[in-house]
Amino acid sequence: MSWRHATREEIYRYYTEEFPSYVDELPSFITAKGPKQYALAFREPHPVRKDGVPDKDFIRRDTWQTNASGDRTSAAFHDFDDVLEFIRHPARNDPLGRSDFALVDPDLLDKPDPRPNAVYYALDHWERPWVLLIDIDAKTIARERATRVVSDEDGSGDSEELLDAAGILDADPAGYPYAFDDIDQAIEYGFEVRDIFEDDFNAEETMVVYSGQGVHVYLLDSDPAHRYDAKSREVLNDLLQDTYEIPIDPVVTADRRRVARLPYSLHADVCSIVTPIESPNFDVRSARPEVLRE
Amino acid sequence: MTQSTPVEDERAAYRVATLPPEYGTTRINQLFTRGYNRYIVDGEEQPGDLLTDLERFGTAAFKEDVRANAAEKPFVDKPGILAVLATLSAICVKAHPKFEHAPPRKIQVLYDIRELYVNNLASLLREFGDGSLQQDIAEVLYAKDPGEDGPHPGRVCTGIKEMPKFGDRLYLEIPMAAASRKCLVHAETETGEAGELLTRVENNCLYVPVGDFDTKYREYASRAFKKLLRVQEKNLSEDQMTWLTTNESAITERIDRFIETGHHERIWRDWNPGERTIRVLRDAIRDAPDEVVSLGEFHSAKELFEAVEAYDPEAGWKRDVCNRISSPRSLGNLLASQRDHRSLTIREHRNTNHYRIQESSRGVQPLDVEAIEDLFELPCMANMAERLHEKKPVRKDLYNFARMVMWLPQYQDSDLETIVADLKGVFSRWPWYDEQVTDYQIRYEFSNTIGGDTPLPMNCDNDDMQRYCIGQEQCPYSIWGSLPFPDEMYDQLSGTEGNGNEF
Repeated sequence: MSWRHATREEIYRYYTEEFPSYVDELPSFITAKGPKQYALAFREPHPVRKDGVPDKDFIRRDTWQTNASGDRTSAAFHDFDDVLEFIRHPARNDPLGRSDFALVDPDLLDKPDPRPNAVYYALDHWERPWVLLIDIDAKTIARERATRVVSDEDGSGDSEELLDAAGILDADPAGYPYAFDDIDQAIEYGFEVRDIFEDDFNAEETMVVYSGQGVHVYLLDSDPAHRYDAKSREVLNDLLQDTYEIPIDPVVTADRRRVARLPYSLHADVCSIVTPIESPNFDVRSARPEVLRE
Repeated sequence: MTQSTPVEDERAAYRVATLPPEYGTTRINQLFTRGYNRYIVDGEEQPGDLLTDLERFGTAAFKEDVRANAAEKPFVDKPGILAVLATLSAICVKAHPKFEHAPPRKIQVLYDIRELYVNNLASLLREFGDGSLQQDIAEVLYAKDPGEDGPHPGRVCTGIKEMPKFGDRLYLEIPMAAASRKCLVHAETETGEAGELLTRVENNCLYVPVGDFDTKYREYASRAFKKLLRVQEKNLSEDQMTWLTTNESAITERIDRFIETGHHERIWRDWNPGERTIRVLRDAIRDAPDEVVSLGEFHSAKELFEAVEAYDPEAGWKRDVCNRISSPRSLGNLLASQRDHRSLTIREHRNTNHYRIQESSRGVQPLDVEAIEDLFELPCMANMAERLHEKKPVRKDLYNFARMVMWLPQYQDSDLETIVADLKGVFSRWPWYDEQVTDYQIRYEFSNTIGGDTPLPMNCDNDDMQRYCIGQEQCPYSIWGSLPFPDEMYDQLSGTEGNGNEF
């Protein structure tokens, strides 16, 4: 088995038919007003209304309007159905409304209605502290593995060549810069981080999410003892990397303005559902949407 | 609730002495008051006792072993007195005429006083024996700046604990929510890279080895001393200042002596980097095992570098110099930049440079010279004097002798007649003495300049002096090092090429 991109139609079908059944399972902080922003990525850039502004392939939308002093005024999404409508037809349901910077209405263009290649939410929340998320990427693991296998002495070899030499590009999923083994390895690391959170950091509420090309590990306790600011998160990064030797993306942990893939959203490049998982034995092939299975 | 003041409460005194930047002028002055109160007996001030103690403190601070010992056992056993003595000593130093226009950061003796204060304070803290004070200090040392989420609401340091799980030592407990990279302590490695992480994790807290607290506190205390000094300086009235500088003599005299004997590195911070480098190399060469390298011989940068690597000096400034030499290449570059140094000769040998460092001409036992006769304390001069009883002098002997006298500080500004008269007074003791001949010879010498510069006095490497030399290894003196020649003489030296054998 290998992987493929989801088509525009498949993406639409997924968000219309399958995704609504997962909405009740979303973490409780994912609401119409919870995160400060939702964000969408498109495969092709889509124009905005104002002339001279470049086309956008990534848009962020605030969940609330704010006034000049930054206080919240009115909500952009009244309930999660509004978010869902925005995901299905971003240009028609753009919360920016008639603003110059809203996406151009597809009816005015020859171009088709844009479909989200990925759906994100902001880690920064209105009603709770900034969510702690650790990102472990199969690409990093694959690249390290390739360096070890090929023993690239000067370490400056071209990434593509290195992966090719290590046989990673040919291994399933073919053509991707990692193998299934690397994803499995990422998942193992993910559960290791969860154990560290629980054992060494007294966390009670944790979550491991298969992200499509790796895992996200969440520490969700919101008591004062777990309100880690950027500096504490830098320390956590250093510890995970140096003491526990877990290959993580440190930038994601320490930057509160980051967005994370929305659980149960579709990773359209690999045609996989971003899935909260309970065990390191999770089979990534099971994350393929039901509506798209042949 | 009224807060107890450092005047009557020892704990408060310790807090202010250890964390002065956290307090205002009032509290710091109360700490000084507590110190001054020790010099009031039955309502009578005892300025003499204060003066004796501060002179003792100030002069002790110039001794490296005293400073080091104070880290183990306090030199002064009360925080208030320590603050008073250290700041007053520093004020006396700053009042020395030599430092009138010098920025304090250039004055080495101020660093010495501060080091004695910091070491003393560190050992006092240990003796105070109350962990809660260390905990208060840790709050300051490990606190992070408030971020977007505001300051961490709880305590930064929630305890100082033994953690048998992590080995037998004490750890500072810092909740993860209060943590910053300051808390991540790495072992030092030989290569200077960060070694194994010594900070441990447990129970949503970091455990930082107490040793790191000591290191961080020393850095902090260095800055803290500045604040104490500033408050004390503002605190003193003009009369008190005049009293202090008029009556204090021991510290000033010690500084004068350093100046007179050419111990510039004890006075000035980072004094003459080239001179410091050569001195350290000389020490390293002397200290090298198996005589692989020796003074007065040519060696490659690699050989000299190996000697530096093996050398483990005690003095802080020497360690600094060594640390700056990271490879044979860096040593070579450093020496090339000092190629004019009188004790250094660089010779190209098969496309690589070889370097010769010569025996010290400075930094040896100083000699007070009040009258010309005092010069005969030098063994070579005594030998010469002895020989002159038996035999007429070689002409060069007289010239050399006259040049040496010309450079003595007391003759720098006197007129020629005085010098000639005094020299004739010395020469007249010898049987060959002829007033007219000597008079002529001396005047001839004085009129003889080298490109307008007064000729340098001879040094120990001077060929004519060698006939009287008892051997530089045996001699506790050196001519250039022991005699109180003025800075201008050495300035002139650094402008001359070669290794000092030119006359």
